[in-house]
Amino acid sequence: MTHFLLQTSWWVPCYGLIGAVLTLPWAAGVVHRTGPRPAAYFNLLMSVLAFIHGSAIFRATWNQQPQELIFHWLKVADFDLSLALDISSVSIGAMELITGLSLLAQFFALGYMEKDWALARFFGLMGFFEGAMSGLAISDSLFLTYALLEMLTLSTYLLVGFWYAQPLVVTAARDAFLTKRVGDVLLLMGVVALASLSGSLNFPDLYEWAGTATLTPTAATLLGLALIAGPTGKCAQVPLHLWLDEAMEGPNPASILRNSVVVGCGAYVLIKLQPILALSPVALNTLIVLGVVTAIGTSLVAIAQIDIKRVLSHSTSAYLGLVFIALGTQRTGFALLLLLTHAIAKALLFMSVGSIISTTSCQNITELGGLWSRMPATTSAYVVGAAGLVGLLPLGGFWALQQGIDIVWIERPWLVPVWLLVNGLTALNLTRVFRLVFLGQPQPKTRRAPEVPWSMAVPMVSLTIVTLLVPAMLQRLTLVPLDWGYFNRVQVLALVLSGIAGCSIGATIYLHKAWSRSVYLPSRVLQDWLAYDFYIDRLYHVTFVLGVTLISRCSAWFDRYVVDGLVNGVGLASIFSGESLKYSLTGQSQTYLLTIFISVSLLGVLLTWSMW
Amino acid sequence: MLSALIWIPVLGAVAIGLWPALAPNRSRLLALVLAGITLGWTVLLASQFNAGIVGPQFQEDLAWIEPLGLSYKLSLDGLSLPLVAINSLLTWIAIYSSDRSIHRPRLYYILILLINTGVAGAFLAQNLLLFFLFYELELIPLYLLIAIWGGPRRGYAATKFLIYTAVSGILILAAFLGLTALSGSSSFNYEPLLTQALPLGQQFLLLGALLVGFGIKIPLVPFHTWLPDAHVEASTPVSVLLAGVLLKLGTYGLLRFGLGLFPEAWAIWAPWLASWAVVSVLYGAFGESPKKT
Repeated sequence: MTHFLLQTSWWVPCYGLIGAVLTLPWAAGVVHRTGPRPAAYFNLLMSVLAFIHGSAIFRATWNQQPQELIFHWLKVADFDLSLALDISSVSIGAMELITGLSLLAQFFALGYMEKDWALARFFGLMGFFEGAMSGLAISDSLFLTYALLEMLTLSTYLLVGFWYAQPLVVTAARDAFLTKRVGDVLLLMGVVALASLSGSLNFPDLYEWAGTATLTPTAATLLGLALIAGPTGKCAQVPLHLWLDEAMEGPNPASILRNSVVVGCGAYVLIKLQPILALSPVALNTLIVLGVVTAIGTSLVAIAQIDIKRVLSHSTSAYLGLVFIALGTQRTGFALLLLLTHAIAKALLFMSVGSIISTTSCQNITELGGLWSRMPATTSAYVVGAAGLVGLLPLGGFWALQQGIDIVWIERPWLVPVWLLVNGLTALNLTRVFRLVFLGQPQPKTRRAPEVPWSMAVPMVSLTIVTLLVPAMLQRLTLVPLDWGYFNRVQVLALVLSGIAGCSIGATIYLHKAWSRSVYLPSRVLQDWLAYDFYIDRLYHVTFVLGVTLISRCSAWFDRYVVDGLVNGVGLASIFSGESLKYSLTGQSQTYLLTIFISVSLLGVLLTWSMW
Repeated sequence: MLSALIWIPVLGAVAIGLWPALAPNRSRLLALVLAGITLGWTVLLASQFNAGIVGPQFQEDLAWIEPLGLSYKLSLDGLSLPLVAINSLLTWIAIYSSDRSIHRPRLYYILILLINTGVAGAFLAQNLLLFFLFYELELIPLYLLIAIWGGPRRGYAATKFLIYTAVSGILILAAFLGLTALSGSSSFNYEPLLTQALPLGQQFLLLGALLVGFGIKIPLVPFHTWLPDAHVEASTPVSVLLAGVLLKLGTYGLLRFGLGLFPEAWAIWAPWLASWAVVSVLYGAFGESPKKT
């Protein structure tokens, strides 16, 4: 039975894909009579199956040796292209997290997307999304991983662009796609280079190769940077971070997944690539620099946002920045821990936000207020999610951040303030949003807000409980030490103090809904600078976008007039010569015979030239 | 097993062509049903396919014209299976998404089914001449599909496509003939070890012909200008087939015959091929972007 379970673990990603295919009759409009709901139910059922199957495999792999499944695809000469899967408790655990959150997000979508006419298409895309991500979790070949990352890029594009009739949505989907493409193309270069350097793309072979590889420092650096580029786009890190913020135009249930596990997928790939990145100190330092810049920059940007989803999306970038720092210091275990706790807490926060948006049809936090008494389940979800994210109460975020401080305490003490700063700023930001949305006087849009229907409340409350249980889960999986005596008191104190400082500043700063944009010029300039992402998008517009446009104009001109002109010239020349030769025909067979005779003689002379 | 993938669409084309007084929606239905059967058959094959085995499966071998070395030899392996599957799927989708009130429906559906046959045959063929036959066969219906149901400049685009692809076919045929003649083999059957004895210079020559031949089909810069014209002029379902499967024939051919038959020469050229590919990618990407704005 165990053997069967392990051998069939490749089914789990297939469930999502099968669900996506099953929705086609409804999404394509072949079946009208039933409405789109059966498609949603099929997908939900498939996710349940994937989750149950995954749990069974997880139990079977617990405390077992990792196994490898290999599917041969193409074998020519000594070239063997195979798709390998890694069945270990870590990879299956990641897959479980993905299918579990996907299941909850889809359940949530049942309520959130209830009145959407394209429900079937939405669920089809979610199934595709889930399939690609869970495949990524168990992939043991860089080749397969790259293909799945591309599937993720595609499904992100389709999900962000789900409401394609809105102009902002169209640009958001395009930007998400193109930004990730930039990263992916660089990653592809790294993958191809790695393939020709090591001869195999399966991770175990790559690790073996990395152990003995002798690369020049330049080659190692270029390789490492190329491999980092893809995940930088996926995880929304500076300088490829703008898409995540824009992607918040998409439907909220997809944002739940995007901000929790999809961004994590990029970091997961980096975790898998760690031994290769370790070949290049420059790549590792780049990871740390990118992480620090993103973590602090996006934490600051988040404070100035007034769109409730964008507030949280910037904080996602910040936490993924922390994960990048962890990867730069080569602490993969800690990176996984932070990804896990962040994914669960952030998913819960997004569910809570989704409930607010669905009830009030409003994303602007200055127009909300006083929701705590009207939406108790949503409020508690927000509070628990926020507590699970920041290092203050002993929930997931606390343990993860505490370990983060612990690992840099001795080696790189200059990173400790980054940790504390991000924690404090996140606490400040979440407290600020809490005050604006849940406390204060009810606004016109929130006065008659009811609690969400059961189909949204059930997944939200379930995830609230899960978030509360994360510390127990971590202990059970022995990801955190059991013994209190192990902790460094100073570290814990510093972390808690930064959390308290953030919360108290957030709780006491002056917030006024009518004056959400400051009236004092200096602070207004600062606020705008943060609110518009340091104006990075405008900078990109006058540099990269402009440059690419100019080059492509030139290249299009070249293609149209030089390359195609040459082709048409050859065509014209042949027509013209044919037309003119036509008049030299006499119709006399002796002329033809003479021509043939002379040509054959010439050919004969040419062929036998060497014998003369 | 595999022959069905080739002959069911032919059967459908014959049925649509000869059925007396077939109404347009009936011919569409018939084409859909037969493409659906092909698709179902492909799914069945995929489920029977054993991924653990390296090498060809479901082999079929019939002697056809032995003095020429032409035999009807088909098989399926991990490389061709997904391509065959996508061919069956996209044919069905192309028929399904075709305009219901299309002009001259019987001819249209016949041609689409024939494309399916040609492409499936090319993906399955294990004989070089047989591959070439199918490779050329797929050209005729596509030419007609662009030339009859295309946009305003359809004549120009279709002729350009025809000339380019015919040149590609000639180069490939030349390479195949040269390969068999030089290696002294009596048959055109695909055997990866055929070229081991050839001197490297001859291998380069043959691989070069294959590269340009398939490079036109892929298409690589600077042989690409037929593609934008063909895509613009072809109707959407035809573009689906063109981009989805027909262009894959070029890449498939390079992998199967270029890499498979000339691994030594390929290994030496690999960096240059990669650079060529990168140039094509960048050139194509840059050339494409201003057209949308």
